[in-house]
Amino acid sequence: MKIFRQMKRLIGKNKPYIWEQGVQEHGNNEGLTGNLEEDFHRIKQLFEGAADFSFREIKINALYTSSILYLNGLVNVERMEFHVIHPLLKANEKLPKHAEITINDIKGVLSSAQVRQGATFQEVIDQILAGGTILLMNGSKTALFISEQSWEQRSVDEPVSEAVVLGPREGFTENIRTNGSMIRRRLKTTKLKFEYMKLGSLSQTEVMITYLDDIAQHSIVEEVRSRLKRIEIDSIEDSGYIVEFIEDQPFSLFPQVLQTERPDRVVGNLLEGKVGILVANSPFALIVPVTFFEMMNSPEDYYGRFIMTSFIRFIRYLFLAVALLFPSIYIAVTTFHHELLPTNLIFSVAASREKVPFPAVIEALLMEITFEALREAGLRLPRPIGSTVSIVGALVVGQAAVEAGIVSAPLVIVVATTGIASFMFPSYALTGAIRLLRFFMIFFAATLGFYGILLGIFFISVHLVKLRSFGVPYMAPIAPFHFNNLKDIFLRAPWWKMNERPHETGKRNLKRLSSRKPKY
Amino acid sequence: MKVMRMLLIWGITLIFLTGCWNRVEINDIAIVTAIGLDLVEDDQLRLTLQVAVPSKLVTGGTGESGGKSTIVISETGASVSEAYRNIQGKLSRRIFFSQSRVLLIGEDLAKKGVFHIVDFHTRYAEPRINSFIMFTKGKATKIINSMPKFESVSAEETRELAKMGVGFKIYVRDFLNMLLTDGIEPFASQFTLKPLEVDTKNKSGETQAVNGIAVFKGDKLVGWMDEGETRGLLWLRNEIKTGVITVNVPEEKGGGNISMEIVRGETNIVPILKQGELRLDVDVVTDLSVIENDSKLNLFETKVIEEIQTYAEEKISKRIEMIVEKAQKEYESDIFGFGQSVYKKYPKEWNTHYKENWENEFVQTKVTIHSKAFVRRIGLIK
Repeated sequence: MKIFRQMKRLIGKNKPYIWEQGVQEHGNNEGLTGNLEEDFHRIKQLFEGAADFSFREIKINALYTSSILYLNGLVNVERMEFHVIHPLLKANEKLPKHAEITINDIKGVLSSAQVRQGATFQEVIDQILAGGTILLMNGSKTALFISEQSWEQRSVDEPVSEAVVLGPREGFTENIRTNGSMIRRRLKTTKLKFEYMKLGSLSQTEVMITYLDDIAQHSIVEEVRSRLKRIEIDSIEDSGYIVEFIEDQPFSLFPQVLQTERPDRVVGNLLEGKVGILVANSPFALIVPVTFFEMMNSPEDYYGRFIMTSFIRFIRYLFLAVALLFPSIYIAVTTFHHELLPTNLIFSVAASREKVPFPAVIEALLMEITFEALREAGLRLPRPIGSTVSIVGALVVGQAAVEAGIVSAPLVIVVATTGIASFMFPSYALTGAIRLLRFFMIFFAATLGFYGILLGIFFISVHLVKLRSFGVPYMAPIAPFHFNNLKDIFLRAPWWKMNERPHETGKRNLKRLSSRKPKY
Repeated sequence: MKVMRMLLIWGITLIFLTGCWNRVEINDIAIVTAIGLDLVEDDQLRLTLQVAVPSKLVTGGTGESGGKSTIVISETGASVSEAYRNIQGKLSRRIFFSQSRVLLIGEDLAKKGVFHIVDFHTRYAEPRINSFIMFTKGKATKIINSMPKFESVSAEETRELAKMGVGFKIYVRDFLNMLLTDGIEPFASQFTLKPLEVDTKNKSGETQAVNGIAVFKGDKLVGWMDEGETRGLLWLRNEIKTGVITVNVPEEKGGGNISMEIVRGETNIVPILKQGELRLDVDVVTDLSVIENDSKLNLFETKVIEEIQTYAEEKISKRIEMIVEKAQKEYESDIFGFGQSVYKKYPKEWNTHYKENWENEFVQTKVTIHSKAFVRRIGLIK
C-alpha cells in the first residue's frame, strides 16, 4: 500500500514542480504606443540574440515611415517582396506627399490575401513567431499582420506505419493546415468542425479538435476539450505527448487513444461519432474514444470485399492469441503437461531439448528478448545496414544457437511464429501491449502451467473489461454486449448492411444508410 | 477501494506461494511407451517398461544416431506401484506414464487376476485409461522387447495394430466397465509374435500380431479364442466393420469358392422370457459384396444369388453358434453381454432372479441365430 501511495505522490509531485519553474512569456499585454521608434525598439529587444529576426524600414511619404518585421525562414520572402514591399514603394507615388494617412490606407495598398490588424505587443510577438510579417507605422497604434508564411516541409506521402494495398495512399504530414485540409476534402460539410487551441507554454503548438457536429456527443467533445486544456507543459513535440496526458488509465498497457497517420481513418472514425485531435508538427492524428476492436481493425478492412475481410479478421484474432500465448503454451506443455503432445511429437521435442542446458522458461526468455533486441536494432540502424542485422540475426540466433545446443529447434519455431504474429496488428501501440503481456504470460506459464495461463487471461480480461476510453467501455460492444454493433467486430458486414453507427459514440444520430442494397 | 487493493495483492501473493508445483522439464522425463506385467517366482509381479530414448529416436539435428531407440527396463515388486518405485531407483529420469498407450499382461498373471492392475491404471493420475489393454500367451516382456518394423518404437506398432479394427479395440476403461458391470464378462485382445513370412525357408524375423482374444471370468483369465472365433464375437457384439466371408460351393454345383466383403453387418440380441424360460434370439443382418469368384456359378442369375446368400447365412450362423457354444460350455463366461440385454428388457426379473444366478443360467440359456444375408453388389465382370 505504501509503495502505491509513494508512487502516486512522486508522479503527482512532478507536474506542478516543472510548471512553477517553467519559462513563460508574459507582461506584454500593453498596447502599441504609436511611436515607431519606441515600439520597434521594444520588439527588437525581445528578439535580442535571435539571428533570424529581420526587419526593413520603408519610407511611405515625408511624414510616415513603416517597419516590416519578420523571422527569416518562416516567411516566403519573394512573395513578401511582391505583395508588401513592392506596393509600399509604389504607394509613394499614389498617396499624397504631405497628407496624413492611416493604417487603413496602407492596408488598401497591400495585395496580400490575408491582412489582419492587432494592437498589443503580445499579438505582434505571437504573429512574428508564427511566421507572420508585421507592418508597424509611426503614428498608428495598430499594426498590420500579413500572412505570407511558408517554410520547408515534407510533401504528402504514403503513410509508413499503416501501409495498405487497397485504399488511399496519402498520409498526414507535419503541417497541421495540410492535415486539416485532407480531412475537409473528405467531408465537404459545414458540420465538420475544427476547434483550434494552443498548447505548450514555449512551443505554442497548434492543436485542433475535429468532430462532426450532429454526430459526436457533446459530452465527449467537451471532455476532450477540458482534458486538453488541462495540459500544462512547456512544449509538445508530437501527438504522443498528448496521448499520455489525456488517457483514462495511463498505467494500463493497452492504448486508449488511437494514433493514425491516415486521413481516411480519421474521417471514418469521425463518422462514427468520435473526436479527432490534430497536432502541429506531428503526422499522427489522435482519435478518441477508442475501443479494443477498433485497434484491431485496419482501414483496409473497409475497402476490400467483406468476405475476404472477415476471413482476414479471423486470422488476425487467431494470431492475437498466438502472439500472446504461443511461447507460454509451449512452456506449459513442455514443463507441466507432457501428456498433451502426440507421442511422436513429444519424442522430437524431447530429442531437441536433450542438449539444451537451460529450463524451457530461460530458453524462451532468452530467445524472446533476443528477438525484441533484433527488432529494435533493425529499426534503429540505417536502412542499408538494417538487412545485415536480419541476416546475422537469423543465422546466429536461428541456426547457430540451435546447432550449438543453446536453444532447441521447436522453440525457434515458436518464437519466429510469435514474431510474425506480432507484426500482424494494424495498431502499433496495441502490438506493444501484446509484446509485454507475452512476457507476463510466460512467467505465469512457467510457474503454474495451463492454470497460470488461464489466470493470466483472466487478469487481462478483467482489466480490459474495466478499462474505459473517455467514458466508453474499452471492450464495447462485447462488454457491454450490443448485438447490432457486432457487424463490424469479428466479421465485417457488407456496407449495405451496416446501417447503424456504434451505439457508444454515435447515439445521437444512429442511422447511417437510408436504404438497403438496391436490387438489380 | 483500499480493502479491495489489499485483497488483490494478497491474492496475487498466494498464487505465487504455491511454487513450482510439479514442474518437470521435458528432457527430465523417461517417456514410457509400453507397460508390461508378468508373474515371476514367489508370486511377485514384474513390471517391464519400454522407455523411449529421444536422442536416438530422432535422426538428424543432433547428429548422433544409431543404437536402440528404446530401452526396456524391469523390476519386481508385490504390487504394480511397488515395482514402479523400484524401477525409478534404476532410472535417472522421472518415469512418465501418460504417453503410454499399451498395457500388456502376461498369461500367468492374468490367470491369477488383473483387478489390481486395472485399478492402478485408472486410480493413479498418470497412466491413460484410454490405453489399450492386451494379453499375451507367455510373457509380456517378449512382445515389449520385439523390434519395430515401421515405427521408431515397437509400442507404437502395437498401438496402431490394436487400432486397426482387425480385432477388438479394448481400452482399459472398457475393460474396467465390463469387469464392473453385471451380466457381461471382460475380454481383450491377445497379442503374440508371429513370423513375418510363412511357408518359406527364409529365416524371417518375428513381428507382433493380433491373435484372437483372451476370455475372462471375473478378473481371471479362463481361456483364449483364436482369430476365427473372434470374428464370431465381433458379429455378436455388433462391432463387425470389415471382413471377408468365403463360401464353398458344393461339388455338385461345380465347386470353387466365392469371397464376399462385408459392407454392413447388424446384430440384434433379443431375449425372450416365456413361462419362466429364457431364450435368446440373435438376429444378424449382413450386406455383402462379391469380391472374388472362382466357381462356375453365373452371378447374374437371381437364383444363384439367393443360393449364395443362404451359404453366407449358414456360414455366419455357424461362426456365431460355435463361439456361443465355446463360451457356454468351455469357459462359462458371458463375454457377449447376454445378461445385459436380459437386464435391459426384463429389469425386474433380472434383479429378482437372474442377477444372482446368471452364471448358471447363462450356460443353460438357449441361443438361436437368425441370419439374413444380402448380396448387394457382384462386381463388373461376368
